[in-house]
Amino acid sequence: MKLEELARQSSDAVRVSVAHLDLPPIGDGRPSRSWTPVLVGAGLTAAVVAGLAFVVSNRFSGEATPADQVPDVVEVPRLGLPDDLGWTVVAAGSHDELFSPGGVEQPTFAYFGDAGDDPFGERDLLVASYRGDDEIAGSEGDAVAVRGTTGTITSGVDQGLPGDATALEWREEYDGGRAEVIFVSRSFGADELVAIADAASFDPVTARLTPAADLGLTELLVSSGTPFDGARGSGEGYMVSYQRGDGADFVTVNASRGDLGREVLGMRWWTSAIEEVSVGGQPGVLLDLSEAFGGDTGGLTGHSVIWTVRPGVVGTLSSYGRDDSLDIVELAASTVELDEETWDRYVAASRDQSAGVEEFDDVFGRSEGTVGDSEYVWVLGLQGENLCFNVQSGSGGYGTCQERISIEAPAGSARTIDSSFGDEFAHVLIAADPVVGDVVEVEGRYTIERVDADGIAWYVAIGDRDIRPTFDVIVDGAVVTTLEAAVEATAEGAMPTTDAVRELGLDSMEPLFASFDDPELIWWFGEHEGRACVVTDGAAAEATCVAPDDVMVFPTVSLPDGARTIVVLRDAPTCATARVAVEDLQAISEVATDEHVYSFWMVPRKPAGMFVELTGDGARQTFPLPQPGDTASWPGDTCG
Amino acid sequence: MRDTDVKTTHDGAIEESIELPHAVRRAFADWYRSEYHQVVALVYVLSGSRTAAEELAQDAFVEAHRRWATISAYDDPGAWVRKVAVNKARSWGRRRSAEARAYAKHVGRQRQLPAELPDSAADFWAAVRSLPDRQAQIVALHYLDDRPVDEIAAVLEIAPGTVKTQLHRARAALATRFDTEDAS
Repeated sequence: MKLEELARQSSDAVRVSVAHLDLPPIGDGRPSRSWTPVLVGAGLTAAVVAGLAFVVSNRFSGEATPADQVPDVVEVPRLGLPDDLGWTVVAAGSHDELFSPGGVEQPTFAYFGDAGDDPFGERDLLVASYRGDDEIAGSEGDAVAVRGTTGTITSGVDQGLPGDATALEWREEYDGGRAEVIFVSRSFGADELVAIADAASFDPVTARLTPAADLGLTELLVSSGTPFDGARGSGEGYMVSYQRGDGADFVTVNASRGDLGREVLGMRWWTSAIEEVSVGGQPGVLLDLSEAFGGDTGGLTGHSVIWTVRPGVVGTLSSYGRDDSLDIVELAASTVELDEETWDRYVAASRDQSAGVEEFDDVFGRSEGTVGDSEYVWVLGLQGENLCFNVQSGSGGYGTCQERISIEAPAGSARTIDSSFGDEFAHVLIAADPVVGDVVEVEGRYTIERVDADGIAWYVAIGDRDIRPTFDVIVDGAVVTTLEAAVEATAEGAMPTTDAVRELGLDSMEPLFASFDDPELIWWFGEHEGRACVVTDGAAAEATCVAPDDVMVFPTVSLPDGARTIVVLRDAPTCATARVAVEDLQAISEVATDEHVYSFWMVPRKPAGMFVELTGDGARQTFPLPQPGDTASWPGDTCG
Repeated sequence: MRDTDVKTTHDGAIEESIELPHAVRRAFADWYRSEYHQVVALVYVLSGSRTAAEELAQDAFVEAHRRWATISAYDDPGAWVRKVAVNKARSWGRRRSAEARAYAKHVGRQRQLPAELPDSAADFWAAVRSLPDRQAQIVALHYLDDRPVDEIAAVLEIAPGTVKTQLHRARAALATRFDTEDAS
């Protein structure tokens, strides 16, 4: 079969695979995104705010335990499904690991109503707020003025909330931050919600709004996430996610510190479709998620069962998918407490999933460990004919591919082929001749593992991102060379030949570095005939050269989604043993030539008042960045 | 409820709201209907994720709706939404957030998924995704989206020559991978 034919057939198959999809509503008064799923998706679902949660009214007829009777010390078990039921583990971890990596801010859901048998029967108000870096996608609706800004009024179903509710959404700006806020109510209309919001008090410490006291609403419950979130309750908890068959059916099993009565109270705001059930003899409730989300389930089924595992511990099993025959109460009753060995196996499977092991056609090596409080897993191998390296932590991942490499003579050669200094830790990937006996970080500050594959000895070094490592390459007990973290420069081809390139005579420039990380701005850097030059492609195709210097700030590039300024630092002073930090800059990479070590940075705007910061040996020095188009030298007394 | 088009600055601050006339709303609806499945398909093959495809495509159309007053004046609004979608697929693939978050998302909301692909098609698109990002995007736009070189260049905002070069390299790599003849 010819490639064209294979490609056409494969394209036809994709078109068929999506043909059945209904169009999600956009515009015409319908939603773009749901607030709740956005929160859930942001992983902001973990903890009831300890100490704040309380229940004024606990009318659940089951054996609910009042919140203040939850034991102070609760041992939360790790619950899972028996292995022989055909479900495959796709994620496992503690709630903190899965939903609060790096201490991610949690959202708050506060429920207001009237104390009594039917707390939300006459008046109700859900106040949700989220303070974090992620911007929650706004919904289409009526723009209204609220609290000195512009908010949006939508119907509940537009937000993935109960269909008979009205929602008011806005961004609360305050001294020191901002919060995304939504008021939702069945009993209050749009005008009333705006009036309640305007009169509400805002606590900048908790980023929570409280309706004015004269409204007479009672705060019934404060929690993080919704009752259907995978990890809700307290931060003390564990979750295992499973999939089955073709991946269309998911189940999550959670155990957390909590109280069934408290959970049910929150549920009662969302839905009346709550059925009391017995889970292995323990009290529980079954919830139809389609009812809770206004019936907008996209043709799939979803249910949750929540039950008392033991005093102070609730279990939650949620299903989602196409299998309408799944008896999740029975499934919940079948859950077992996982022993350490099984749990470790689940966590390893989870990390393999997150690290993208399945993307590799040939895995050279895989390992995991911790740097400080951060856990990581890395995978090295081939994807097709590309050499790829993935490293994943709880808060994100890094993946890169490049052409397969070879190590040339002389024997004992080694070179750095990839490195990054991320938010949590740094990694350096070194390729060496197999005769190399060891690669060590000169001060022993990095964890280094060796993998022999593809005719090369690979050394993966993971360590503190604030430490600038140097590696000794050892053959027969002797140090034969020393490597920096910077990647050895190679010619980066495929630079466009634009008019600007021709005008500057850069047609023959061999770039030292090419950046494809920013889809809006692809660029190349090189030194050519005594000039340091940057060539950009795409909507802002141009070429610029400056006189080479230590700090080079290239002219700001204007793009539809904002400005970018490329900063190149050359040969950071040797006293800066720690990383070079530049406030608000995004580190791109480092490249070493025979003469210089360059580090490349991107300012996501036009720099103003920016500075370079060098740290090392407890010292800290700052230098202002020159204006775009200008250069500067390191001060002579840098290393004092 | 009236429809609005909220213009935003690059940092998301609301600048102004403009009511969309009925005819404009209708134009968006027609355009959305005509483009949606093709954009989902594009995201599906580039992200490799059945679960992410619909959501990422929807995100792209939400952005298009917000900027419809501007985008509708473009010669090819489809190029704009594809550019956004392609970048979202790329970002998703390169910066996979914790896998558990995606599954937690399923608990929060249910949605349809694209059907699984036959093995041969799945293998082909997996091979495409193993190419450098730009090459993968070009292959998807060329074969799946039936876009000629100049339109691909417009979508990706790169030079037509770069498209040709990268498409040639991609074809060669795929031909080697599948032991087929590159008819280009």
